[in-house]
Amino acid sequence: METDKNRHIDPSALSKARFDRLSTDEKVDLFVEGYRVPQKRSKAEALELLRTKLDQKSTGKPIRNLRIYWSAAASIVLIALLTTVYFFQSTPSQIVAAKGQHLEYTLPDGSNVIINADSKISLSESSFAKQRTLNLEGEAFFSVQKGKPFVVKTHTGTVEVLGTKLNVFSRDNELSVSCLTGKVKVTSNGQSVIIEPGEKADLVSGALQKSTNIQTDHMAGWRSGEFHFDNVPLISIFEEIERQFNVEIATKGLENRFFTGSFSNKNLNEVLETVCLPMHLDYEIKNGNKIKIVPKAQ
Amino acid sequence: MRILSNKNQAETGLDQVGFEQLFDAYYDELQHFIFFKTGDTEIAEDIIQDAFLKLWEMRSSVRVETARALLYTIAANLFANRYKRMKLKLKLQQTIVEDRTFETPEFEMELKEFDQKLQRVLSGLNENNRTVFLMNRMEQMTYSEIASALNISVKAVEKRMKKALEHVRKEIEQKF
Repeated sequence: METDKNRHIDPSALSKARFDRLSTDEKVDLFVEGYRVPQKRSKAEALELLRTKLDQKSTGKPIRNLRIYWSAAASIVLIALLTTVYFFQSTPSQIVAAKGQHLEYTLPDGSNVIINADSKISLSESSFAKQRTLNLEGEAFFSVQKGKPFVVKTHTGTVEVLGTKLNVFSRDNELSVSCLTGKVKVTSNGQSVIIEPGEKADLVSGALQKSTNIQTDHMAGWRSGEFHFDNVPLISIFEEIERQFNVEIATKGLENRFFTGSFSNKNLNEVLETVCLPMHLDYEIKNGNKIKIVPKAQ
Repeated sequence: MRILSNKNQAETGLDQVGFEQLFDAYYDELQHFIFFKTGDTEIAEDIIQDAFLKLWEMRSSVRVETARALLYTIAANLFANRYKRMKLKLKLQQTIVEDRTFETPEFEMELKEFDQKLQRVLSGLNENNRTVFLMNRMEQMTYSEIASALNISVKAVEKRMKKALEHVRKEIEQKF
């Protein structure tokens, strides 16, 4: 490349007669090939700066700015706490985690539930004491106290447990229940399966399917902000991102595409890149919360 | 979810040395690449800093053979997210003029005017066409190198080059 540059003829070394004989294209090339991109800092300075930034990073000084997300997260947590306190004092009927929010809640029997973004549970406190039954729309993780049967009703099926830890996902036509400890009975469309730790029951085209050998830390990674997907429809991935970041994502032509991978819900741009890069997609963010997914520009 | 098999694990991932080698190999052309889009040196340099930071963050899954295209993708995304549709004015450094004796002062003027006009015309080019055009003419990258860096087809590179050339020719020949 250097030698090419050196071979270049300086336009000012030309005679006027020769310059005039050149075609427009040749004149353009003559100039363009001689152009240099101006530099503010040299490459060595740039490397030095980069090393400093990497050092800061490894010693843990924050240099990433998550501005909006963190302040949004902080206010959401505050609202969530207030909501929780409010519901605790009254008779809870509905506990709702909004988009971009996770909510932890202790049920009257001491069981614990963590509700994922854009999800809600509803129960009647007075009857819950007698019969541990609640309704779930969306996704939640339950740590159930031992005792009477504990029933989670969703519109796609019913989950019945004895003392256990389990994750229930129920959105649109999907139902996915994974078991971390104990035993869980899942009933949907008149069929039942019993799952044990490391197993998962999914509703696949109306039929319950059991899969085994699932890594338990992947089952409800969302509680710690880690999302793991194993061959999940790409559209469902973008729906999860919509819920976690409270954004709207427009997609087109992604049917029949699947994604395997992980991301954390800390930074929207990173998440979008993690998903888009390997899938050969580009994204555009408009007005901060509207995202368009497009095929990589040709 | 197991992406890496033991076999190719050895080829995946970057250490500090490998990382700095990539920096050394690609820093200039990436900085130029963003400059072709923005016409702003500082923005270009900042974006490339961030692009390499990002690469470092994902170093465990980076393969050296694909790092160049990956860096272009990261840089282009960073640019697109921050500076979409910026009005730009290229300020390229010409190698000519100072300390030169020209045949006539008129000829010197003519060359300087041509230079200014050309830079104006380039600034007015569609961003993608300009970028490809300058990568080819200034960076001396071949069409296939550009295609793989930008993750587009060679056909697409040819098309952009053709559009850029037509536009530049038309604009330069106008009132000159």
